[in-house]
Amino acid sequence: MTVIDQAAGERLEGEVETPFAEDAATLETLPSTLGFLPWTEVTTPFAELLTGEAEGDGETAEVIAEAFESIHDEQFDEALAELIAETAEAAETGLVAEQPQQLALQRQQIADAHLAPIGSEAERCVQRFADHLQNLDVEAMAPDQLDELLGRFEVGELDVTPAGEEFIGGLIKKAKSVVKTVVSTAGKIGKAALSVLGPILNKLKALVRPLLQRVLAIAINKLPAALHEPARALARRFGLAQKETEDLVETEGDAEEEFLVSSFAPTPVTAGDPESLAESFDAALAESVLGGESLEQGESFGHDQERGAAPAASDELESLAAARSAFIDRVASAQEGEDLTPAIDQFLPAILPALRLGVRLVGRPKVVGFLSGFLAKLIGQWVGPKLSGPLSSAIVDVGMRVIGLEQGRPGDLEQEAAPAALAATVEDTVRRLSEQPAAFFEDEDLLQVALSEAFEEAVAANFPTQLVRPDLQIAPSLGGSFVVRHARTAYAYKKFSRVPEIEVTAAVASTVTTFGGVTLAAALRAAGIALPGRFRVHVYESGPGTTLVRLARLERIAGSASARGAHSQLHPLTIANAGVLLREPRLGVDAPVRFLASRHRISVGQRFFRLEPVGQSGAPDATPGSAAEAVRPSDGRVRSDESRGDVRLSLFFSEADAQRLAAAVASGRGGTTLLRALLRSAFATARGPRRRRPTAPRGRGRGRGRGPSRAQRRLRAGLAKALAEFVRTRGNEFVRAAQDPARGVTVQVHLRGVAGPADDADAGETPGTAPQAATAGSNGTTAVPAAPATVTVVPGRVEP
Amino acid sequence: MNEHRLIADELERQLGHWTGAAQCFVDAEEFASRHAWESLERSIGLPVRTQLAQTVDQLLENGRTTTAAVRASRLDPGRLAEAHAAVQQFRRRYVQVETTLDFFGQAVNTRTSTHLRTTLQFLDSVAYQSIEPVLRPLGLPVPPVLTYLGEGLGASILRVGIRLWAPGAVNPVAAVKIVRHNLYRPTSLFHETGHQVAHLAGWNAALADALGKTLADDPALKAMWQPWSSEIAADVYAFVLTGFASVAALHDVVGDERTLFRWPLGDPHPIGWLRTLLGCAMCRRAYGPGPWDRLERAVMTTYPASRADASSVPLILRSQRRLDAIAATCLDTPVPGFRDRPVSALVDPQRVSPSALAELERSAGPALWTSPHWRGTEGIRLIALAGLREAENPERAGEWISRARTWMTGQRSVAA
Repeated sequence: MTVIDQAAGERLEGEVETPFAEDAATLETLPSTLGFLPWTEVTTPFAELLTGEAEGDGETAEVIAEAFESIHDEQFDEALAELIAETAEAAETGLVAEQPQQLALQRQQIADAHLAPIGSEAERCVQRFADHLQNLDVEAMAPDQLDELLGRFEVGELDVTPAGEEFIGGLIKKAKSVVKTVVSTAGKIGKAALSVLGPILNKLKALVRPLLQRVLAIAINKLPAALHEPARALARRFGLAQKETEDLVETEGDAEEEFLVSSFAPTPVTAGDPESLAESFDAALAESVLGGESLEQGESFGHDQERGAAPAASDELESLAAARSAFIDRVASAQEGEDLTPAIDQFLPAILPALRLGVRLVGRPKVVGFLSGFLAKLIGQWVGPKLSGPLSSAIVDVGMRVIGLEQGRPGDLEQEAAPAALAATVEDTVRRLSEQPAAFFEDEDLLQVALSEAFEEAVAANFPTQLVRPDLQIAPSLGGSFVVRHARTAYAYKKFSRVPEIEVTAAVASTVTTFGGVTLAAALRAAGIALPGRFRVHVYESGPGTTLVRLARLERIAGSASARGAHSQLHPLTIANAGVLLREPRLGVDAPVRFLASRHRISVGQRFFRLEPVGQSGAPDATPGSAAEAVRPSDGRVRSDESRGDVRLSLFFSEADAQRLAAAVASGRGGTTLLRALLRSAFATARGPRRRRPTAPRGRGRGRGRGPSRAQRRLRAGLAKALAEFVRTRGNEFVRAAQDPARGVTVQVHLRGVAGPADDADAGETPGTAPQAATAGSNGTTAVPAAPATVTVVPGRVEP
Repeated sequence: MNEHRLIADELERQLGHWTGAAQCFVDAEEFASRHAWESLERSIGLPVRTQLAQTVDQLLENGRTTTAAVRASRLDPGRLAEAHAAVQQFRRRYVQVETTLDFFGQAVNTRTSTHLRTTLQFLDSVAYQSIEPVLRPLGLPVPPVLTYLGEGLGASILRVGIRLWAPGAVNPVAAVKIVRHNLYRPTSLFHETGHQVAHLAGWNAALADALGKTLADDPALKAMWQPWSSEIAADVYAFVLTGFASVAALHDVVGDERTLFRWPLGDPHPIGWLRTLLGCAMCRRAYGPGPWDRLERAVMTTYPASRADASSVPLILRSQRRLDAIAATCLDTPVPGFRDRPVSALVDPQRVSPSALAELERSAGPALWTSPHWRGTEGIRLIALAGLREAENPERAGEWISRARTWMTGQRSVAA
């Protein structure tokens, strides 16, 4: 996919003088950034799968896919996110300079020093694990024995930071998964497990440093190059399932479509996509299960680097921070009537590369010139000592004083407020414009419309309410506006200047949806917060470079003592959520569904809220372990292998829900309660997005608007039957699992013989294509046989 | 140098010392670490430092006016006396503010180790849970509660809203002192929060009236019991929340043979012997026969009423005969401040009856002592259950305390 309209760029180049022509430095830096194209790759490592044919022979692909899925571990994503945030925090402590870029080298050194002991300790641990296995005959063991043996290996006391400890724990968990996969699949690929285990664990060890190098790069606001290449290559070779949903495919056209539909510009934030990082790590590891060539790629993630060479990294975020900082200074010292075009001309080249589709504008100097003139004219009204006065005083109202800014000297607040708001307005305008369909850039009238709209929306978000036209105000009943926090840094984000206090009831909380489709009610229950209750609502907006883990730390969401896991208190403020909670729907934004699945994959301009209980609240959970894990709400995940017609569900019940259900069962009145909870979770999970291992590439939007397909009904019937039987005969297993110190309980359901994708999609229309359809009616009303299923209960949270 | 300049210089020197010292108050870390302050503020949901900063600001403002007065006195000997008085007053204020800040600083500083911090955070939380469900439905303000570890055998409370040492400073938080021997069996915490509830709801006066009516036929007994109403109300509150555990724990505090029968003039605390027996009577009224009968017999056998001061023996014996009626009055008399309902209608003592606690123990299983869910939702009943089991099996008391020590802090329990 190419996102630069080269033809248009060349055409326009002849006609229009580019504003960047005289800036040699800009010209030098641009090509490397453009060639880099991080945004097109971040979210969909496996996107090609949907359009291209899967390569590789079926069985090998199967093995790789199975390995990839068994290695994947969401706790590791969390651990990486925390490690990135911890490293970033360490690197920034004590480093303050006018120009953030001045300190890049020192920051890198500090971050390196922070990660070095973690790297050594991690390598040591993996080695210990490998030694532990060396003298064991793993192939001769039954799966249970192997589980027990692997369980016996513990990481033990580590002299590293808390995030480091979690990271190493996660690595060892992966190592255990690798061993299990290798042993179980050794037969399939015709190799002795033992002979490949050593080299595979060596590979894991060798991958630690490259992985930490990428953690470092992200922590110091750089994006390592070619981060996702191995994952994509692997996807091409083996046809791995793409993540979460079939709607992931991302093209320029899709972005335009999304923008037109939701008026939201989907630009993933730069740093802090630990999920993608973990995915590429898992992919490299999964590939090694095959042995052979892949094992020789010792020290790199893929095929793109010299052995041992540090990954190249880009500076867009630092450049943007520096440019923003310069713009703020320039605007603060500007005189009335001064032409701001040169200042904006210098600012724009830094903004565009940090936006996924911003590069399209770089290739259109005419558009950029038009944009620059337009912004200079409109922003110009608010600069100069006299003119900026009203803006400053309007911004620096009570609300803003409450949230505070990082400046320490008196008067800074006032001085910085107006220029920072203007910088944010420029950035927002550019971002919104950049996401417009290409047609808008080629017609001056359309461009003018798009630009005015983008500008209006930017003003509505960043200017104090009283200065915004009533029909544009985003939260008239609250007043306030978004204020940039840490404006001069690469991790700038915004906070809404009002913190309204609201009452949240259980009914309201159950209609508010947070990440991963979980309801707010479930999230609060898992966090031990009782409803109804009064809460202060803090609203934030992400910028390029924002990660929720870091935002939570900077905002001291959990206080200084327990920063880990605090990001789990941030929820997406969609239009619906803003309407239900605050009666101000415009304060929310609807991000595409892929940015609502995980807190580690968010978009620029997405908004979030956090509920701070008013008054005294419950005791914090003091148990050691991952804080995010401790408050994880109940949810369900599903994985299907359509070639075999297998569906596996993992129904997770949070500690709070598990205890409540277990107590009900133990007191003899809970059979129905448990069955109801299981069915509700299972049906919701079966309906939701799933990780698939498809048999063939598929189109998008299948089966929408139709009733449940035959396969779905068979699935539901199987689930209902199996769960009812489980509760009747083995409900006490749930109680026993709840007694385990691990947090929560997972009920796993494995259904076999559920129809494949064709059946799923086309039942009722082309019955003959469904493998299961031949024996029974398929008109959508006939009773279908339930799919055979097994149910197991496990303490804690387990992947499907 | 003339004399008045000499005195003015000396005043300025003195004042310089005190204002300089006061300046240090701006930094809350002079009193406790930032970490400890933040842990406390997060636990009780109240910016204590901001509130204390106002007191410090007033002191500093006072320092500035005093400085101006001293400077003016340099030029005008007639204002020397005024300046002298101002400096003296500033000194006194300084000490008052320091006492106030020290109080909070020390309270915060008891949260030094992770273990103690977690325990006290848990106690903050159950203390709040003990008052919130009663006060909020009554439309009364629910104050934040802070617990701290203090010296001595008995707990105490510095109620919210009372004037602190520093002029103009009002206590922003109900501060409950927990003593070490009861840290892991903290039923006395609920006696103290009972004081706060009784104060806000006007229960003390209502109970005094009710006791007056019950004992109307015996003016001497009436005169004896009515002044005890505030302490009795607090005991009743601890009882309805934690049942027999509160009675057994109370007896451990008052069961000193040298003071068990002591009745100091004006002391709001009932005679210890009667307090324990009243607790047993409340148990009997609420739950029928049970382990409290054994405690009652043991108390009466070990410490017969005849051991009391001869002058109070008749009153004590007459009181003993009326304990069942007094228990009924305490538990069942409607209280105007409770919207004409008795305390047992607001907090049902049946939730902590031995059978209810046994059912909790059975249905939750061993997870009761390990799961953060139970710690968060049933903290008070867990305290009641642990206290009950400890009282029932005195030979295993150490084990129960050790278990409480692990479950309260969320560590993996060894006893299951």
